[in-house]
Amino acid sequence: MILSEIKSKKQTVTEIESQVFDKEYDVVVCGLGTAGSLAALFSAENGLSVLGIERYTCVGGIHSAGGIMEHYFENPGGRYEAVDKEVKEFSKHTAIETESRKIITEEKIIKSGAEILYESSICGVYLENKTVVGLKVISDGKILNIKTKVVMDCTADAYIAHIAGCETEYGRKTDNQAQPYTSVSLMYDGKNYSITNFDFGRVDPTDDKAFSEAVIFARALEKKVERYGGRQFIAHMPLIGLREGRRIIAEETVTINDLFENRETETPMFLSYADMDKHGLDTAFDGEELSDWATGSNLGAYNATVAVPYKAILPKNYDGILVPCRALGVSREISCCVRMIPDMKKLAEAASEWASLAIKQNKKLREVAYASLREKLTESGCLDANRKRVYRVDGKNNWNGKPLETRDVEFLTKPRQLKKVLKTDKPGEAIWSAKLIGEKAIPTLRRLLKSRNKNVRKHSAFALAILGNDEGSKILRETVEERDGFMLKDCRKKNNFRGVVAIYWLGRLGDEKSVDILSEIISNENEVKHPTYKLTDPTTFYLTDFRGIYFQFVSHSVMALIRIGDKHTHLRTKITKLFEDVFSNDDYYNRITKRAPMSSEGNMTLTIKKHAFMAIDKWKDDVKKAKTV
Amino acid sequence: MYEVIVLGATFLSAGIAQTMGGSCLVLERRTQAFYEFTGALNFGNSYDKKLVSGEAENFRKIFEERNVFANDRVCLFEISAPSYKFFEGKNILFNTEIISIEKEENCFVCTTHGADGFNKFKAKRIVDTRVSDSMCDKKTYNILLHSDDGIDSDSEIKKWGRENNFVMRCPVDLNDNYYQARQKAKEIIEKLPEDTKAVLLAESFDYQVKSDYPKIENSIVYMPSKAYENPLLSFDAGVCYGKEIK
Repeated sequence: MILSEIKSKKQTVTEIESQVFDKEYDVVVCGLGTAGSLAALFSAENGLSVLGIERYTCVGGIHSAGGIMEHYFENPGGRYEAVDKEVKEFSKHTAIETESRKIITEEKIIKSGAEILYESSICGVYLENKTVVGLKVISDGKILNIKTKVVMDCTADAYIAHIAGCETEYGRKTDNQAQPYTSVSLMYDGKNYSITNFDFGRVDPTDDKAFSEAVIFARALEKKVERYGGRQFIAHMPLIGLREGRRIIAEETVTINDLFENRETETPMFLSYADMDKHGLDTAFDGEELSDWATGSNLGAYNATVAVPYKAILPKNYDGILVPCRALGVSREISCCVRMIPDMKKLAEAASEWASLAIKQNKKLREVAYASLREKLTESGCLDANRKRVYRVDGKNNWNGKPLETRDVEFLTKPRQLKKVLKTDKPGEAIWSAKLIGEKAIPTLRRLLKSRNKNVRKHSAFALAILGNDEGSKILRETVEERDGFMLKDCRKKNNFRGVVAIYWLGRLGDEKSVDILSEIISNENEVKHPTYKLTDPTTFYLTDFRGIYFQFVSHSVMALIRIGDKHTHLRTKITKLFEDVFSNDDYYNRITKRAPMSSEGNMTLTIKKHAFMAIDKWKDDVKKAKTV
Repeated sequence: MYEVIVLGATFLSAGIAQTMGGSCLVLERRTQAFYEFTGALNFGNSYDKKLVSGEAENFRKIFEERNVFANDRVCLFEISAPSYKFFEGKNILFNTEIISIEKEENCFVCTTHGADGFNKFKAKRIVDTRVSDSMCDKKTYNILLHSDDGIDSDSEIKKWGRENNFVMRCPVDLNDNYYQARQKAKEIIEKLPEDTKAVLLAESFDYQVKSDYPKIENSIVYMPSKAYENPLLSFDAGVCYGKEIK
């Protein structure tokens, strides 16, 4: 047996001859948040002995103490619905549902026979041949050693998995940054209580110092009455809203390309349904797989169904541990589509059933037959395997505040269908369809480049670019030169401006000829005076002192130049000098925003500079490597 | 090495941090501060008591500017942001559990556990501003209520919070855990009149600390923030302590 711990950020492993455990349980659930509270409940209801360990003083996590009561989308079904019904029933006594949830969920957990340790946390993991067999727990000033058959890591940061030595990843591929965090506040309008959340910058919750600074920054911000439509600030909700943390590398990980290429797991535990719900407007740094969809095709707020494999909660090469929470095995690009509250509740159910089967059959987790798990999940409605897989335009209101017409999306299959859609202000489906149709679309698109209709010309250039074809580059450059501020209208929120989409595709194509235009955008101090940047930007209504459109042009230009430099080594010296000149002081920052660096606006603006210098360093490394060879 | 490590992100530790600056480290298990008053939904009493330090007097002015005492009420929510400002730029670690404190020759070694795992910090002094059941005579579990028609104040109902808010202090046994306390609160909530709703449940117990605090044991200063009747007195005590050791 070994004891695995983290000491000053490093994993340390100690061989243990024998360990006396203070107590033993079938299941220990670490973190009793949205998922963990239900994992404890369902496991106990299944007849298992359960211990729940929670750092805070109540259950529910972000769904209670964090103030988040609603979710945007879901594929409903599962055991959680009965719990939600009871919570709703009790809510007639409370001003907000969160307080009912604290009481009712906890009551159900205790009455089901589970035990709860509040104000406690895990500081070590016992393993035998990569199977978790126990935990070292701090509780009430004492150390407890707990033996268990299955650990459910519901910490949202895969913290237990991390201590155990499981492989994990964190943040965006381009810069390791997570989604922005949010601070949730209780507000009152004179009649009703409600919740509002305020987005801030990015923080790494695995870094104690950075996290603590972020908490202070968020809490010290004044909530002015005037700013929030007359609603008065009452109180901070106790928990900060972290949208992203570590993710495990699982036995089966879902990627965004699995979704786009229709590769679906054969062993789903449930189907999630949401848009790529990303917060933070620095989409320039999101990575190409997601950006081709969200920026290049302007489809970021389209919803998609994702089949989540059951092995996405089993860390690769490990047993005795499941990670049924936000930290499950999905790639970063698709994680924002698989993090709705109902998804977390379904994860809890799936993990509980899986653990129950394993323990009752006296098997390791990976020895349990999928068919028996599937049967349980289908019975409760958690898994509806026959549910239609859709891309869908869905939601309440459109970008203009009017009711949204919802519909299933049917991508186009024939080149002759493209023109009609490319002609509109919603060309996204046609652009993505061109990708799906493939090279057969090129002759049609080539012809459409010569159209007299501006939309057809420009959007055809986008469609060619997604196919890797640069015949529309001249039109793309013209679009950028005119600083085209036309907002495309495919989505209910976060639509892109056409000039930004053109910049994106020039970068993806590695277009050398656009270096000068892009350089001008980021370096010319008078650029910010262009009329395009004075247009109303509905995507940034919630931000303060922030030139949103200008930010998009600048950030995408930087990323495009990086891509061009990656492709054309002879341009690196020129681009390096440009970046060094522009980002040597804070002038670029002040042109975009007046907000503090730790604010949402400031953090995004700093990210531009960070990427510029990362590229410079990478190119210098490439030179060193070349010389070594 | 720090001059002082302070356990608990409380009003008292804010006073120490404000005075000591970078030579002070505050360690807190939770991700919130000020739970001993604000989080416990105890907004304080005896605000007429004299403050010693200028810093505490300035803090009182903020209370007044922000109408904490308006309409014959006390509402600590009004000073949430300025309170957290005391910790801006200071050394404070949330999400950090205290594992052990050991005395070495000239200092204390505090072993902690957080997201970074185990760490050790050294300081000449340790001040513990936290409170636990063993330090107390009694405790309550408080609920912030909203009532359009008003509720008569008594020892268990306080005019704390904004207009139409009241805090009900539900008596619980000293050894009740959070589940047991919430069940008692639930019974009360279920019987509230129709025009009265529970708005927030307390994050922490509201403790009545025994009168023999502050005290020193094994060279550690036990100075629970909740031993003082209101956040201003607590903050003041922290400032005075900080000045004493500076």
